[in-house]
Amino acid sequence: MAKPKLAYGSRSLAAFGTLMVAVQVFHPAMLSILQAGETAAWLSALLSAVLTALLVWPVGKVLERIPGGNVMDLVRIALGDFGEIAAALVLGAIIAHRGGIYLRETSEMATTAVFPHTPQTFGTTTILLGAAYVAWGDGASLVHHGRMVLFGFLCAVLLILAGTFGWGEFRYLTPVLGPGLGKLLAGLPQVSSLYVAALLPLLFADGVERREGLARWISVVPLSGGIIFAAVVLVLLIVFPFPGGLNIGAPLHSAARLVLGGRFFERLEGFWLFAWVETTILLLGAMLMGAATAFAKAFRMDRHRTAVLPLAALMLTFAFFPHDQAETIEALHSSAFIAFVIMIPVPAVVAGIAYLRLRGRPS
Amino acid sequence: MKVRAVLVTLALTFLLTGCWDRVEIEDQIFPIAIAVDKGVVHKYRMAVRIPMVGTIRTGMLGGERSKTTSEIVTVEAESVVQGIFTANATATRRFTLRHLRGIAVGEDLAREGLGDLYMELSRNGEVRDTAAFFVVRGSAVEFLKLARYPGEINPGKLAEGLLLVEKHLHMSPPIRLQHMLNRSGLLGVDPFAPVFGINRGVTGESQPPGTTASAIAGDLYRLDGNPAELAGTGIFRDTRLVGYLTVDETQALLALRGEMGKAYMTFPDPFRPGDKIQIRFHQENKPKVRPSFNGQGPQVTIRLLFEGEVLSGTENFWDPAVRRRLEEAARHHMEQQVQSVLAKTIKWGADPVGFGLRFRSRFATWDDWSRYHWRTQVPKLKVTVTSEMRIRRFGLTLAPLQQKQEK
Repeated sequence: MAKPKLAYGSRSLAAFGTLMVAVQVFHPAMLSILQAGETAAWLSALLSAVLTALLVWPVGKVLERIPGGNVMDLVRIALGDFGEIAAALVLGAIIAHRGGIYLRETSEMATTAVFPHTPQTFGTTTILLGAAYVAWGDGASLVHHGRMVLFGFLCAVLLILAGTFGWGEFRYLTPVLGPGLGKLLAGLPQVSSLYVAALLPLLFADGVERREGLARWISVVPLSGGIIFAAVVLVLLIVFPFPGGLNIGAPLHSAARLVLGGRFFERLEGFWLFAWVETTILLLGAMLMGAATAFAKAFRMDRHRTAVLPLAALMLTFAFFPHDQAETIEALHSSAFIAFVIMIPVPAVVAGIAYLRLRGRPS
Repeated sequence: MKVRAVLVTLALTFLLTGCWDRVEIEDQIFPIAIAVDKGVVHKYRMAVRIPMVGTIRTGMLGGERSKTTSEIVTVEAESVVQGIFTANATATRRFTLRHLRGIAVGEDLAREGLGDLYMELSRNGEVRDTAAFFVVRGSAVEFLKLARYPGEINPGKLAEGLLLVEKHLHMSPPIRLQHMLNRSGLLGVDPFAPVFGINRGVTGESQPPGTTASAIAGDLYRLDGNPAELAGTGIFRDTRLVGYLTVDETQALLALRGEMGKAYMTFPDPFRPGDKIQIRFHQENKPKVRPSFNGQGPQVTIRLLFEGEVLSGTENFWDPAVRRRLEEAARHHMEQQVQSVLAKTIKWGADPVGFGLRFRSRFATWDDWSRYHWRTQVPKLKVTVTSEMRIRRFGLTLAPLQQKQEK
């Protein structure tokens, strides 16, 4: 008897996507919101979430018409086989680069904050092994796992926010418009780079059986991620006020260190370190699997697993490109805009072309 | 697959500790407090208080083991970390600052500026920003050597105990390192810290001061006991100490910030000239602050509302006129303290109340706010304070016990 194909619903996909986007609250990537939005960073997070949702919605809408298809199928419809191969290569390169930077930066922060004697090679390799194992499995397991972890992740983040709330003053959120409305809007593309992971649900959309409402749930990913970012940024701004707060490498980890519930309830950041590393492993695993799936489709491979290990090796190589901790964070910021343009607006354009090509055909 | 993946990823996170960062608790010593002064030869002179773990009594049946529960090591170094290493040369275990509870800084160093010290402490992954922070009138190292708290059997709880006293009596503000770090780098509010002092009357080096008026640590009228005392507030301008506030002024500062809990105030008895009367009071509401701009500079109107209860006094409080007169005297005294705080801090160019944060919200953008140059506006600040004191309770006895009258 043939093994039934594993599948999941749009809602599970949205929960998984939300986790993938929101994981970055633990990472220095958050600094880009604070830098661009200053005291209005929370507003910046919300506006960029809306911008990203508007860009991914048309992609989801076209995907509703292609049962069992994902964003790579749209590329093939719009740009042909050659375009699909080119897209897979570009996607693989970007994912390997960003994944490598996340890997290095997580390992650097773990070394700086918790494990000062552990070598970088050990930290990065261990995390990458976990990610490769996750990517070795199937999409349905990953999506369901992500949905399950989202609840614990939200509890961990909410605990940090509740525990550190008392350290701040609401007046630190003024001036309300931060750098001014003009600069705030001009900085949106940079901030939107935090939502690059919103591409992952588009890559995993092939496992969604019932396509109705797919676009709506895919749009929910950046919006819910934006709400989480805005809540975290609001608390970070009142706890580590602008401009000094911009210099903290991993602000949420520093916030976790402040949680103090009396003499017998302190030093709880170990719990959040656990959530941080666990969700990072999932994010990197999802990135590896997404890129591997794209390769498998473009090169007509039977299984995505063939591409997992080469991509993991590439990721590890990129992880050791930056010289130090500061260069790692800079690499993340400097590549953010290009990554965003290629991974969010370009698929929207591709979806538009695919829509025109599909017009008139039955779904 | 799902369960396996969960288990494997969770197990990997545990593996991250590796073999490199495995630390046995008995291989470490946890300094609980450090005192930092300006060095004579090197940048800092530091004293490190180390708990003698084996001698600490714990629990109800702990029993008497030793009178010495902690030791002091004094060193000079170019940085706090180097100081800790130097102190570590005297021990057989590794010093770690993971349980550092209190940081005391000497007056000389604080007046020069604590920017370098803050940077070092905030970079250090072992130091918690939740550590209590104090400024010491005179030498912090001398303070740490002389301070003894016989009631506290566990030195690890010492800083927390001091914070409890601060919160209970409001003789000094409860401040942690995080408050100092935040407020030092912020435009619109300046840091302030509780003050420790060494009472020379207690050490026998001089006579006790001749007054019982509101004072600062080091000047309290005491004859014996712990030579170290905690009272008053050190006011900073950015990272530099600029002056001190007395106990009553501390309460006024906390009232202006809306952070005053139940506090105690002793003021001239309006019914018996030369005598003092004591009340316990708190803020009935948060202060109502109205910032505005006029031609000369920023202007603030503040309304404070207090509620109190009488703790001493010999009057008959059944009489409404007596009650009103007492309220008026208490209000007058508190307003005097508030005016004194404002006069001192504005003279020092410091803004511990955080008036700047009230004005910040009047600007749309950060650039507009920066261009206002708040620092230069502080000396031009005009503050109008009105207050009201409502004495609600008069103790278990509302009038003095009647004396027999002979006919």
